[in-house]
Amino acid sequence: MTVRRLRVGAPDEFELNRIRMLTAAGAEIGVVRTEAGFFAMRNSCPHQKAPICEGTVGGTALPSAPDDRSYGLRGQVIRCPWHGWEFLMATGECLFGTSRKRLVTYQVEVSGDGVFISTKGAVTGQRP
Amino acid sequence: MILDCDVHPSVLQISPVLKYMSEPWRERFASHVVRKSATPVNRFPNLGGAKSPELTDPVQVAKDLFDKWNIDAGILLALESGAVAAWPDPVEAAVYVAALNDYFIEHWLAADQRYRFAFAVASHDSSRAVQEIKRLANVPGVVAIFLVAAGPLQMSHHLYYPIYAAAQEFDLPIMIHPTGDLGMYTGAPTMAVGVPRTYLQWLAQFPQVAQSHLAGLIFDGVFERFPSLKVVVTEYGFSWAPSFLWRLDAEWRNLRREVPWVKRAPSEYVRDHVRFTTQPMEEPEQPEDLFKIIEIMERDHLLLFSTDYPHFDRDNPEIIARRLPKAVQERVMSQNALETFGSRLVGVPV
Repeated sequence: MTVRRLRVGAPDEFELNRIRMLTAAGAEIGVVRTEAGFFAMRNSCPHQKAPICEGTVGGTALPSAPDDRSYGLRGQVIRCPWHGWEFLMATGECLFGTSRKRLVTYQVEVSGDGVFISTKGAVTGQRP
Repeated sequence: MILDCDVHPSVLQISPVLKYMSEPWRERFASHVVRKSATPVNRFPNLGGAKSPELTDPVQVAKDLFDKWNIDAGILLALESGAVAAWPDPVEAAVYVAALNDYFIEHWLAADQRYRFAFAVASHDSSRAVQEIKRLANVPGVVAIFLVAAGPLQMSHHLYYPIYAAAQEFDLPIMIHPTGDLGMYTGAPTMAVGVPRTYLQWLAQFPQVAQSHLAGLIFDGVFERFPSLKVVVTEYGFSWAPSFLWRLDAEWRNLRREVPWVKRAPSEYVRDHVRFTTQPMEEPEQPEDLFKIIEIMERDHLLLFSTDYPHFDRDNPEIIARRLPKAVQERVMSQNALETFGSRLVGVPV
């Protein structure tokens, strides 16, 4: 299938950490701008198909020594609203080996005044 | 080869134990009544269990257990030491347990080369427990530490850490075993939703306590702090373990961020650090129903055969071997124990 590069808005239309939804080739896709950049992912958690884009984006607790805490991966993690599974939005990997399941993600580019995602299939609509 | 990982020796009276105490303590304990566990004497109308005096005779027990069932070695846990779980005085607990340790080492280990010993330490005062570990760790025949985990704390509490550091230093597995105090006293480990009415209900709910300790050990990061610590869950049952570990793994996937020091799935920590003894073996109507559970557990070599001799609910080695899938019989009956207790079991006569 051909990979399509699709404009999903202007950079300043993306409120920080707020996921914008669109529909592409029958799939709901969320696009978000965070302090770490732009990310796009399918709105379906690979665990139990929850609408993961209703979850929160941010960082997480990094692996640490017992009783120690450190926070990191700021703006790179989405947490599913149903069971709390966390994924790296850049790759779709479940964090720190907690599962081998992967979230479907899309490449995002910011070019000029446009934000573009690459999908296999046509973008058919957009909603805020 | 058959290795029995839970055998209970008895002394039943204080007089032979007194010589292992210094004079002030001999005087203190002179009229002490030896109790076989921490269960209050009048808590249940009939506790069951064999009480015959020959159970204090190591030669007779070797004949009745080892000779009769072709058992190559058995690990002794003295539940009379477990009785101190009900004692409030940490010094008395340590002194008493040390004297019982010496008694069983001298009278039982010396009586038959098939005996191995899990010497007891009382958790009341971890510094005294560590002293006892250092004192006995290298005694021939010692294979493990029987941790009398007194009081309401999970085993993951930091007060236990010096004991785990010493156990790790001497490469001695920690064995935990019910000691009779569960739900019996203010400050004893509680059983869920109150105190069971009967001995039957009490026994059947031991897994609650093991589950609580295991969840604590894993999620409080004890196995991260003590990467070579081994824990043998003795007589708390085992068939509950796979479903419990599925639950722990699932909650870890959901909520890892609460315990970022837990870097692997809980079931992986159990695979690397925890073993379960087989008695009391579950007895489903269809024996093969149990096969799947055993096969799941034996992917990680988690099961150690035990009889619990001479208690009333002991398991018969011949029957138990038949209740194991053939492919895992040798592992469960001996190989897993050899790997758990290591070189200290080497020299077992075959």
